[in-house]
Amino acid sequence: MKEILQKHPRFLRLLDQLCEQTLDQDGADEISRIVKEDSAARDYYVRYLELHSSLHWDLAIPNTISTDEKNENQQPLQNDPRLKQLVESFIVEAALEPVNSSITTNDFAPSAQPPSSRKIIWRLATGLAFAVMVVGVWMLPRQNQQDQIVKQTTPETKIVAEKIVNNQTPGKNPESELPPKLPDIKWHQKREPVSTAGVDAKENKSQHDLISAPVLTDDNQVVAAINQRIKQGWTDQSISPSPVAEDHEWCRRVYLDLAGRIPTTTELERFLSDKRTERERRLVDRLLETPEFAMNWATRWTNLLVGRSPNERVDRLALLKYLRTSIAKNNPWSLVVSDLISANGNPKENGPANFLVAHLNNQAVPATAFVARTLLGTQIQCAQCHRHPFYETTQQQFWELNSFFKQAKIVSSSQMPAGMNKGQGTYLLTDQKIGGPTYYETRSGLMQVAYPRFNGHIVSDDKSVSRRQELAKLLVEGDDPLIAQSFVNRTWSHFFGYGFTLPIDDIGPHNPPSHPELFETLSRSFVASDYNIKRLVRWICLSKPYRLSSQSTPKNKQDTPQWGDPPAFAHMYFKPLSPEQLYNSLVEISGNYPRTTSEWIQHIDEREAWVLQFVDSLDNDENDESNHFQGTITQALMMMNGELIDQTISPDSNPLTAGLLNRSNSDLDKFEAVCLSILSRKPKPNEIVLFRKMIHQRRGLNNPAERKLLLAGQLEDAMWAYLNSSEFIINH
Amino acid sequence: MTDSPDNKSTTEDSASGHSDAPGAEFIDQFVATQRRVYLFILAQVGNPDLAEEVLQNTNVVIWSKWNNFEPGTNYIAWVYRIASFEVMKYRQKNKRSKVYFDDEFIKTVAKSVEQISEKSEARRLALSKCIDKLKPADRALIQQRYEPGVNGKSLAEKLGRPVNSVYQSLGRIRRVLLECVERELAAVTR
Repeated sequence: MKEILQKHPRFLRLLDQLCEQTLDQDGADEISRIVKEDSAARDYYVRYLELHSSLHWDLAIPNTISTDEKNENQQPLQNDPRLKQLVESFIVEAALEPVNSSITTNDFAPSAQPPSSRKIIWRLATGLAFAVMVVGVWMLPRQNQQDQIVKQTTPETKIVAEKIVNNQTPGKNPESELPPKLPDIKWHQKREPVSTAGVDAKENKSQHDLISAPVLTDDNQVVAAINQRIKQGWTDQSISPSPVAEDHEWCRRVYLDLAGRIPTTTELERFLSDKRTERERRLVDRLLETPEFAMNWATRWTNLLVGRSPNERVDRLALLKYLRTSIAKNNPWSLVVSDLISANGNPKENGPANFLVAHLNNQAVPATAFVARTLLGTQIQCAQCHRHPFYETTQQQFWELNSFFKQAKIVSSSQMPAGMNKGQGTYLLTDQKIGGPTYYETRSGLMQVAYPRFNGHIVSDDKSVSRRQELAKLLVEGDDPLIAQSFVNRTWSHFFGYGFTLPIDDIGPHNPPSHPELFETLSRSFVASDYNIKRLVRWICLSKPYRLSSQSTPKNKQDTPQWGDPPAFAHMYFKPLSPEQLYNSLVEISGNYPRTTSEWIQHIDEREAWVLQFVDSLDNDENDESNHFQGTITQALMMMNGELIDQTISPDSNPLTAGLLNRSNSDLDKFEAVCLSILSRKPKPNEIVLFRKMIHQRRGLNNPAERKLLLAGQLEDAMWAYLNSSEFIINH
Repeated sequence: MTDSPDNKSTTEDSASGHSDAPGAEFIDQFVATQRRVYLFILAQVGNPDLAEEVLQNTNVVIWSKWNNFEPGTNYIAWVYRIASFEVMKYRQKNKRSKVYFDDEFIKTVAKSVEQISEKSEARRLALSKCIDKLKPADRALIQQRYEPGVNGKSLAEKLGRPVNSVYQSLGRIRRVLLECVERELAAVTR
């Protein structure tokens, strides 16, 4: 120990910090470093932690010290009713776990959220377990003997038992068994029957095969199909949906989802006072035709396609403009996909070119992965180097798709011929006239060739053939291609927070969707509508599940997809506001929302800069990035102290507060106006109580100027509090 | 224990029910190894409450997989494998937790725990001797510290002592105990 102390004077203190849970990450890193480089320190660490755990285990469990005297009366272990109960509870729970032993041997049961009752039973039982352990040494030889006898005398039982075991799970020893043959993934146009994985899928399999998903062409029919299929899911799982959301909740939801911001008080009141039938349909239809919807949709897809991080070659705004125009013109999604895949030219002028310009680095590996994940909804990035762990996407297939991008090249201004050079810092996306296969290295170091091939179609590798144009054609072929499935799944998840598959970009036979028939109906109908984006959005927004409250009820509590179960859409899921939605909403509350085109351009510029503070580029092979926006400290600090918040709530810059101060309505109405403008609802009784208290504080002041000043401060405080509530930063 | 009729019926019950419930030997092994598994997990996750949670998850898997275990093979190795997966799963879920050890560290530690794990029973007996040898005040302090739900900070509040001085005392007592355990073990093996 002394030697360890000399070498690492802080080590012991760090260990104590670990035991007392006051260790920080730097300390953890230091422990890790010391333990890894010094074997004596490693032994000490392990012994110290063993001591710590023993003290926990032994002293934390009462009545363990005096059990020795009771040895004589100990019952055999398995006969103790409490232990029996414990074992049974574990077995029951184990049976409830969606274990799937037939997929891979490594696929142990996913850990469920531990119900609190389990903890209690477990606590109780460990006390017992320890008591048993103290005497266990004494008892063990005898127990073993008895077991031996049992084994010898009842061989038949054992064989029968083993047979049953073998029937239940292929192979009885997880270590020695090879995983079963995995389904082959194709870039398929026809879906494969749901055949593997998932207890639910097995149970419902026969149903799935019998019902063929109809292609629907009438909007009402599609909405009815959504309602019916989702309802069927509730019945199958014996859960009941939450009640319908309050009108103001739904109104806020649909504004955030379609217009990308919360509604103004006027817009909210217009909807609430509309008592005619089909007012939801009218609002959705109206919003779909606004420039804000186009902008919101284009923003979402710009982020998905090129990320938020700045890239000197990428002109995000050009891509945004292209997408905005596409949706405003109601261009089909298939056309957008073709444009993205086959675009050429200067990304500043030709918006869709930015997609590949952003990802062509590193032998187009990110481009291959991005096309597969973002447009085809399949994750093949790992197949770049090795066989896919869950389905048979081979390295060969990865490089075959990659081979389509072999001709694509980004030419910088210095490499351009004089006539085409548009000055420093410009780039061009071009196709080189080259042919031949792509070469790649297998894990064993062998060089292999891959020819451009997708979904069984081989494209000529002649240099005169533009491979990207060929790929664009192949992607949109068929009546249910992957680009449709992927787009439907993503769009659905934009509105519900969850798609039909978890994760949304991992579609395939290994990952059965939560509502297979509905998913298929939607994507086929979407194709039949000629990839009409607005119609797809309309179907979803007018469906009953989208109208439900976000509050779960005791009868649908288990519908909690963040635990990993397939979503049942029995209530609306919480969606955190995106940085862009939040920015738009704050600007709207502050009364500075853009009205004219030039104001919009400035608004987008400022928003891009503001959003960047939350984005980190991960700088990995797949050009991923993370955003620090989902309830992180950066976000919380911004919401509490950010400049934008100051601007939003200050009466000096916010016309709403300024107007309220000078209006002659009652003080309570003023607070109500604040609440309506931020949370789109009237204040709750407990909030009114608080407001009354605040109003009361001003009674003593006789000077009107002082009263006004205090009121201004109080309105500002109320706004600040509402903006910092989780109700505000969540779309619910 | 004598061969009372009760005992016999028990063993028969557990034998005939072999297909839907684990046998007595399995249950014994399960119970007897809980503590070792707990140590195995705690050394990797560092926090006793989390270790309990991971242990519970491990137990659920053990009970759902019990018929995959081949009697006669190394039970604890089988359980360690399951526990390793549960630790991994836990770590994947909680990458942003307060303190996060790197993967290599976890592997190194898991390996050493497996090595010392065989002597676990002897170490436990030595520890209980050593606790008896502590000064009464120290013994009381360490016992209070490891009562359920107590930590150094809450103990300091209860005793009205500065929290750092309590941390120091606890660290000192733990080191005394550890040295004592090592001495006891050395005395036994000599």
